[in-house]
Amino acid sequence: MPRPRGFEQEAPPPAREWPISGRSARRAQRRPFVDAEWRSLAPPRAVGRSSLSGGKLAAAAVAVAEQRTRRAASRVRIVVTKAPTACWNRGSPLPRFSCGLRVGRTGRRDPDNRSLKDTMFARGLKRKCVGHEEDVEGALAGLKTVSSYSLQRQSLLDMSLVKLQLCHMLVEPNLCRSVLIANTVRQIQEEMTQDGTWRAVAPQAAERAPLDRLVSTEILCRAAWGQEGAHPAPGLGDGHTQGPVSDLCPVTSAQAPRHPQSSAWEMDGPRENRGSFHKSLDQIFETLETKNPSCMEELFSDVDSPYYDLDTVLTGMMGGARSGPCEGLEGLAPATPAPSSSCKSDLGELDHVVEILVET
Amino acid sequence: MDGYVQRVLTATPSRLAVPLPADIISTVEFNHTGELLATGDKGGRVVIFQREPESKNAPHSQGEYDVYSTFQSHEPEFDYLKSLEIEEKINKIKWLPQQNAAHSLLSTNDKTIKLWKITERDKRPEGYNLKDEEGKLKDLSTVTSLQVPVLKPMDLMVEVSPRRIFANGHTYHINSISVNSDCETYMSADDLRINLWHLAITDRSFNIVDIKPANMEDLTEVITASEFHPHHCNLFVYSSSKGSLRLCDMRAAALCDKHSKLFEEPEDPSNRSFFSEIISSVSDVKFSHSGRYMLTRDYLTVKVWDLNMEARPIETYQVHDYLRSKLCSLYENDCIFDKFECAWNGSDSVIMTGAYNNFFRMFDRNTKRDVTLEASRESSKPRAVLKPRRVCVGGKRRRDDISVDSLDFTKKILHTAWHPAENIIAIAATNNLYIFQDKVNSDMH
Repeated sequence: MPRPRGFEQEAPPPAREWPISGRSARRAQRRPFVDAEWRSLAPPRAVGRSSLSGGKLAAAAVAVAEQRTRRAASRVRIVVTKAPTACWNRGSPLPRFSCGLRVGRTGRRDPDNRSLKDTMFARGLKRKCVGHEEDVEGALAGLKTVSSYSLQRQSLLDMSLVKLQLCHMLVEPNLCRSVLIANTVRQIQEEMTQDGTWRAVAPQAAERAPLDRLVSTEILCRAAWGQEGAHPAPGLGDGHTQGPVSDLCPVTSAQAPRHPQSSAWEMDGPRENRGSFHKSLDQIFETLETKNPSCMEELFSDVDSPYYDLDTVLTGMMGGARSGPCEGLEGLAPATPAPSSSCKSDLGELDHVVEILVET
Repeated sequence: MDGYVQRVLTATPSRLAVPLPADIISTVEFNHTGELLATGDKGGRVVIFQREPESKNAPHSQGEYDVYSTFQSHEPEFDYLKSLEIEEKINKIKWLPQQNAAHSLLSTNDKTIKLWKITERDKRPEGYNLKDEEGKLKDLSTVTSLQVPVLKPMDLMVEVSPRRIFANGHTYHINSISVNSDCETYMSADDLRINLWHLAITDRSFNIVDIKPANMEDLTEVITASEFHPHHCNLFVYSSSKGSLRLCDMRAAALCDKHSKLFEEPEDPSNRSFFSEIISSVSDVKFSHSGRYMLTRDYLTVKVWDLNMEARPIETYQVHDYLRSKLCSLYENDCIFDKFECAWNGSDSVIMTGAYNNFFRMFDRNTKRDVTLEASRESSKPRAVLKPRRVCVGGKRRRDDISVDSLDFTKKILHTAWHPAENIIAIAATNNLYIFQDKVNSDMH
């Protein structure tokens, strides 16, 4: 059984003939070092592995991991190569900026903006300016700077989310790297809530009924936490909810702050897709958490290998959803079939989100 | 610091354009006398080099390093419970102080630490009464007289055997090991915990630091490196991903979660960006040989700390500040997470660390001079003096300068080691090991 691997295929190392030291080896007389001789002294790399005689769990895990990496490989390959262009999407909220961003100096100096800007633009991306910019330029120069900074910040957030998702696809996530990326995401989120990005919500966002999304997000997270017993790192919304997830009871009260928050996410880009980043971070952290060895004991629970698969998480959750914290939501949400459909649509939205990143 | 000559020891013949992943060197370490140099690679092998004794007959080969022994230290494993692979890559090697004719070293991968004993055999008994030369039993009727077996010299044979295997001590990936000055214990650190082991006991270890939060969602900081004090067997330091160092005293408590000293430099608000925390993460910490100072490496700088001053480092050296404006790109291609190591020289007057494009930097603490050198085959012939390199950041560009945009970020020097007494350095560049000797040093012999 092939061992689960990332995307790269390691070429099988050349077999080296080497008498294992300590058994029958006679070390050749010492000579000045020469490349070829060194190779002959090196021990044989373990070629091939004994077949994994694990139980069904191992087989399932391997199969799921392979399936996931195959899916991830196709998905990730696209995203990674195209991510830099993703931030400059066409759906800019304010029409006067549809001509794109001006590269170079603007009237207002912002140290943070400069540091991000130089690096972001170092890529050599150019946007053709469509037209009537000269009149409004002076007045909007300052606003442009702010908008470009927030766009860059958004793209950094997107990149970080993609990285987190990547790292939970690989076989052995590097905990230090994941923690640093998660801290960066948290930092961006805090800044975005602090500088009032949430407040600038157009009223029409309310009628988009993000409640469906809220419901699905909550249920997803609750299912993950309830079954696991451990908590993923805070998702984007946790800045507003109180602490650990078990306090999901004030969900109805928390809805109010979450409401503009999820809508605010939509402001920056294609609305129906930005909002689901909210959910995607939770997903990422929950599956990152399952990879985390601290949840070893939870692996023995009845949801282990299917847990890695989002589909089965959702379907499994449908059956075993906790009713307690859900009460408030259920009063607001439509009847039972609707959550499942919204969850399925969320899946579709996740793919859509990826597509948006890719701009296909 | 001037005038280094080089020798190159490489794992693959130069005709291979791309090195095999298994050949990439992942750690380099001199032993306490400098006679032996151990390297570990991603394939789980350890190669030990020995310095040739200087002989008057061949004045040019003054103390060059040649292969002494090679063995497979760790094998890849599969953790069935978590369905995760355990890589065989050797993360760290640490030599034990030599106490008899044998040499011992500890080598570790992500999960298991092994103690290896390296012995030499250069004599063989001959003249057995009951066995003949091949070892077959003799026909007793042919034995007419008794003889005493004598030891005859034979070709040198190096035997390596695993003496202890310290397994199942860590849930997370081991990033460093450090042997205590008492020569009886050592510690191993993973991302969230540090364990103290006795060299003779493999089924038990003591947890001395645990920074795992009750809720993993509150996890914001991990342990990145740790080391015992070279002289005080009760002191050790560990560094974190937030850029802080904690000095702990094992006499204070059994669990050293509470530090004795916290070394942290306040953040410079003018340089603040989203990447500030990532680049402040300490990738390596080393005590000076004197035990008074600590050397830390974060992404852009190396800092020297005085153990008596916690507020800020006493010296800060910029390794590659020209990367500060490229942090976003480096974040995207993950280079910002590279963990560079650092090293002191024997007298604690010069510090060294690696950079990109196969460059490495040395800083003289006394004269405040620094130099950038390159470890590459093409740049200089063997035994030629290395030429200092320069990275130009705009402005006037000299002839041999490299511009920042043409740096090769896949060629990074993460692992370096300095001979404990002499000016000999070992640099690991992907799959090649470069050994540089100070020209002054070599001219003297």
